[in-house]
Amino acid sequence: MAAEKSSRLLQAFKSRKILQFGLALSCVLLFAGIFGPSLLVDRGPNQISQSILAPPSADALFGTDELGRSVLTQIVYGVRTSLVVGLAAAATAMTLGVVMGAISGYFGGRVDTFVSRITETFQVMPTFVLAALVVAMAGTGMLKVIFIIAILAWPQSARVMRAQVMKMKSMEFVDALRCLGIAEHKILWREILPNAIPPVIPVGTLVIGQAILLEASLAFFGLTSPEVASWGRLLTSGQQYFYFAWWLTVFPGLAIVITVLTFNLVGDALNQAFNPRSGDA
Amino acid sequence: MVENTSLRSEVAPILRLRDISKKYYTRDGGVFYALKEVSLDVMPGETLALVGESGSGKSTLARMALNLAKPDAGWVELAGHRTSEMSAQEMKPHRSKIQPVFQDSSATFNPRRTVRQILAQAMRSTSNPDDAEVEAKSIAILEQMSLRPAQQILKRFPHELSGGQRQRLNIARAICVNPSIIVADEPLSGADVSIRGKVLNLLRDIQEQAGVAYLFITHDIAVSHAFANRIAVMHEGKIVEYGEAREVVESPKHPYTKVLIESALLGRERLDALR
Repeated sequence: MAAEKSSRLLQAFKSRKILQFGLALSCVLLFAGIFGPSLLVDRGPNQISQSILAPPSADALFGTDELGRSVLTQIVYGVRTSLVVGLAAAATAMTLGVVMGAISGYFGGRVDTFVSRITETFQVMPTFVLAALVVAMAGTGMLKVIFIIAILAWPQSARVMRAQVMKMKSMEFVDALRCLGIAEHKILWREILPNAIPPVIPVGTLVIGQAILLEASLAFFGLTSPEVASWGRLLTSGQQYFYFAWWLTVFPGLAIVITVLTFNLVGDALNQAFNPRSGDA
Repeated sequence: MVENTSLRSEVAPILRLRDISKKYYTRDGGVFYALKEVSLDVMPGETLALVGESGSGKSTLARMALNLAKPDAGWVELAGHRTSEMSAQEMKPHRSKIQPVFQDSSATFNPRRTVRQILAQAMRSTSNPDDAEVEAKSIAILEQMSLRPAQQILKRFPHELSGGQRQRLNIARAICVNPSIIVADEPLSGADVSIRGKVLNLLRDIQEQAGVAYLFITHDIAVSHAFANRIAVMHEGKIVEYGEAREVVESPKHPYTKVLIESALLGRERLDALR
């Protein structure tokens, strides 16, 4: 089963140009986030140049803002914020979702009913409004934003995990292990979990995109720390100059679209690779 | 019926199932009995075949025997211990006495574990052997199962073995813990026709060497006749006929048993006609 899945994944990677493109773009983004600030620019994001609101040129590829700061530099610094928030929120949401989904699916009964009601409650909540409310009440800060996004996103992976574990707990290999007297918790964490996780990975990848979008939205409304570079914040400051300095909004907007699209493409392609009923995977 | 046929000797049965019932509630509020007051005894070292069509309750009964499910009524006794009333913790010391061999050899192993890990896991469930002991015993068992070269097989994952090899590994895992009885749930139906005979011979050899008893679940009365000492015929959750294998096949009393035998004979006649 695992080998079938990994070969299916390899097959999906080879046959899907979108997945290759998405993964290549993710690598570029990761590279930009890790090394960009030190490689591309030797000045901080707030370094002021001579010309203000300069259009894109050889000196400033994406132009400069109202204080003469390079838009490219700020976007490159913003990659780091978006990726940190996206990856950390997705990892936290996935961990929480996997643990809760596994417990819910394996033990069933009241535990399952309780966890299912919680996931349903979180799923009907208006994510952005709730996130904005919590940030407004608890204060800004990257960790808080990550935590809030994770809390709002975990039910997605929990539901997938629950379904996987429910399917696997009645499989013959689990019965064979029970007949050997192996403890239930060992069966769940050591035997079922590694087999049940692969379909949760695409969900986690989609959460990265959602988290980046949510962080940008919160930043756009000034609900993140002003000391941290963010694409959402660039959009806010650029909107008042939109009619005569389009580069202040277009480039950060494009950065958001491309990044979210990248992770969604990867997530979708992985989803199709893991789901034999979805097309040609 | 049970008392007449099974308690033939002074030896106590290794497995006793008494008045086992299991019911399910249907969507329209009705009650469906998967098992209704089923009683069986399996004597040490014998083979009892449980024969019946799909949905007759054979596999449900097997799960009760293995303590993977609890009956709604009745009880299960394994080597004198009332296992059906035991918790998972209480059952642990008795687990190794009864082992399953499941039908689908591709689903019966964790796909992420190698043969070495699968066998080691079974051995370490009952005792605490060191790596060298585990290795030596694994190789000996694989050799016994004709899974050769054993050193190479140990490194493989279940999906890297053929269907027949996997079924032999399935049996290998079961005998790793020296059980007194093996519940074999349709062990031949997933195997290729050419492999069935080999698997049956292997099971017979193990029985001769280790004295293990089998509760052999099958839909094939012809195989039961060839392999089992006694046959219990199951139909709609009840045992409708129960006796010595030869007696059941040669002079069946229940209409359903007659149908099973006629179907088997029809199959043989068609085969003869083809020849």
